[in-house]
Amino acid sequence: MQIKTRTPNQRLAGYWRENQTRWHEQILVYCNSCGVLIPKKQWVVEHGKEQRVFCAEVCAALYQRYRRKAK
Amino acid sequence: MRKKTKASQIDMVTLTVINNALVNICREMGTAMMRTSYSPIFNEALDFSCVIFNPRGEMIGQAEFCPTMLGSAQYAVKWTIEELGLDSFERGDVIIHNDPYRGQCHMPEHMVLKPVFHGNQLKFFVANIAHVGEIGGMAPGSFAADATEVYQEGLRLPPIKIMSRGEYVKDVWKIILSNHRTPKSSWGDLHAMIGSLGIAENRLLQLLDRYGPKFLKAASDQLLDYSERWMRAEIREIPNGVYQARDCMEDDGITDQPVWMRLKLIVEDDEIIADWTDSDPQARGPINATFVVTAAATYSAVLHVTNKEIPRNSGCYRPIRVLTEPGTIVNVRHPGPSVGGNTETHPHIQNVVVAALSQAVPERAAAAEGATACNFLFGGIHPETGEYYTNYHFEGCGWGATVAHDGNSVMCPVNGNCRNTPIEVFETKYPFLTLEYSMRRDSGGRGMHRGGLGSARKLRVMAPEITVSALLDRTRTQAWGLFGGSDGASARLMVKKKDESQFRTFSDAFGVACATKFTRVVLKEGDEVIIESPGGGGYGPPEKRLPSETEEDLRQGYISPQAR
Repeated sequence: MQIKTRTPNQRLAGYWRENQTRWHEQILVYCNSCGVLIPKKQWVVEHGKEQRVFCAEVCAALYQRYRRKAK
Repeated sequence: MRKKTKASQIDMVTLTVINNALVNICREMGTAMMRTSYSPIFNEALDFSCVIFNPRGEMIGQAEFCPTMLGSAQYAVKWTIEELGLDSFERGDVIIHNDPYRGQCHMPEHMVLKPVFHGNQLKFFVANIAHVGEIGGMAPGSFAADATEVYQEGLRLPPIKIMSRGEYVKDVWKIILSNHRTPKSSWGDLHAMIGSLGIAENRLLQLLDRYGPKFLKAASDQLLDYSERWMRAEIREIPNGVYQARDCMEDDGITDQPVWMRLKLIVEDDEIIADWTDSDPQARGPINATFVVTAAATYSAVLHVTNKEIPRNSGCYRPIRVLTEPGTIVNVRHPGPSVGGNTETHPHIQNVVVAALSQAVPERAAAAEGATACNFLFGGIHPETGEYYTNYHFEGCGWGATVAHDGNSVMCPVNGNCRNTPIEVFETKYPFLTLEYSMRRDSGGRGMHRGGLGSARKLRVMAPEITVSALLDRTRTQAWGLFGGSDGASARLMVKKKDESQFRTFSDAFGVACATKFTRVVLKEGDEVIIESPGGGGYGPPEKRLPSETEEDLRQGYISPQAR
């Protein structure tokens, strides 16, 4: 069985933002691709009204090329 | 003397020299830690890891320490840098951090982190991650096998300064030492950890003076890229495909149900995607793995089947992608407990990755190992000193056999790389008498190559009472054999009260819900405990084993005449 997950130069348009959680708040944000907890800097991808956050651009690309298809 | 070489022209010999220098700094940190720490878990068992990072949070140096700490350290360091901000670090600061919901593996693993300044510029971070044996919480030894949330597992510390500009932050120390049951040990062990950072700082400053900061930065960056390239080349040697495997934790200490971790491993050209998203929901008990534990176990497995000469740094992890779903056994959601995820679930995860890879590269894979540290925690008032003591005791188990060798016997599971505490040290410090410590005959799975043997230990309580807790797995499952090899023997934990003649399970004797995962059972003087660790799986059909090897097994007592 083979599945093709890689598409060269595939990137998701997005932007970096910092988690606005204040120092005394305990809010946990998970990467929508790998599931790791994101400390502060999030790569945000908007798709219509849907907004997804990732720990890194490469993780957003992995979501696009693999995780979304797997779901 | 400064080397007059341009940063863009670093040759392989110089790169190797610098890599070895970084590795040796980590080793020297480890030696200092071993020689100055108070607790046997450090000075005998070596349950700690020393690492060097660049200011971007990439690991550029490590040595032969605990794979679980090494693989997860980059997440804890990255979190610390991001949460606090690079501008917040000053010369002489030391940060402490053990929060599993901020990138740490589990609560006992404490990281101390120190920035290294050259002039006014932050050039490196050095860190020591160590399993502090007692951090408060609901069970002596801080390994609560029936915890249902992280708040029961001990004192949780986000990244905070424990030293500021070289001075104690006394308020933080007071909070820590007030919450640990054995503050004297914590005081000594934390100083050993911090002392090791000072050694690394001095050595790195010597390197900076010798090579210059620009050159050293270029060299460490090139080493990261070199490791990545080498790892990608290694992965390219593995046939592309989708390989699946699974394993379970047999129960979680609260309910009697197995919890499954399921892997779909995709090898595609020079990358590996480890997709764990089909794993079971997280358990109520403390066998959950944090994301970083799952990542570290996956990295460790891939490192086991690739070239051991690849410089170990963050670069070699880049081609390995780990996917999980929050709220599962492989990525616990707050406030789920996770203390056993790092010691028990980690080796299971690692074994599953190797099992998946065995379908692609059978000649590089091993059969399953025991995959339990047989965690046995105890504490109480020492009858000789009148002081409170605790200890985190663990056992070695049998490792899986490979195409070339029998499995190692009585070795710490793959996630730990730790050592056993010698009986003499154990009995000097704690009121137990060791009646037996031996290798378990016939516990290794049969095969062309035999699985490693587990151990058997019998202890007698020598104090009026000792409060014990345990967290073992593989007591109803077995380490699997590969390619016709048979499974290893299961683990066992038994107890005999002083006035009884037969050993029985802790459930039978004390009514605990799970016979091998429980906390706070009080044993009395004269009671005895047997801990038997599991054996490893065999590799290849037993009929292919050389007769001379079987004879040697018999002569050594590794197998019985019936198993011949």
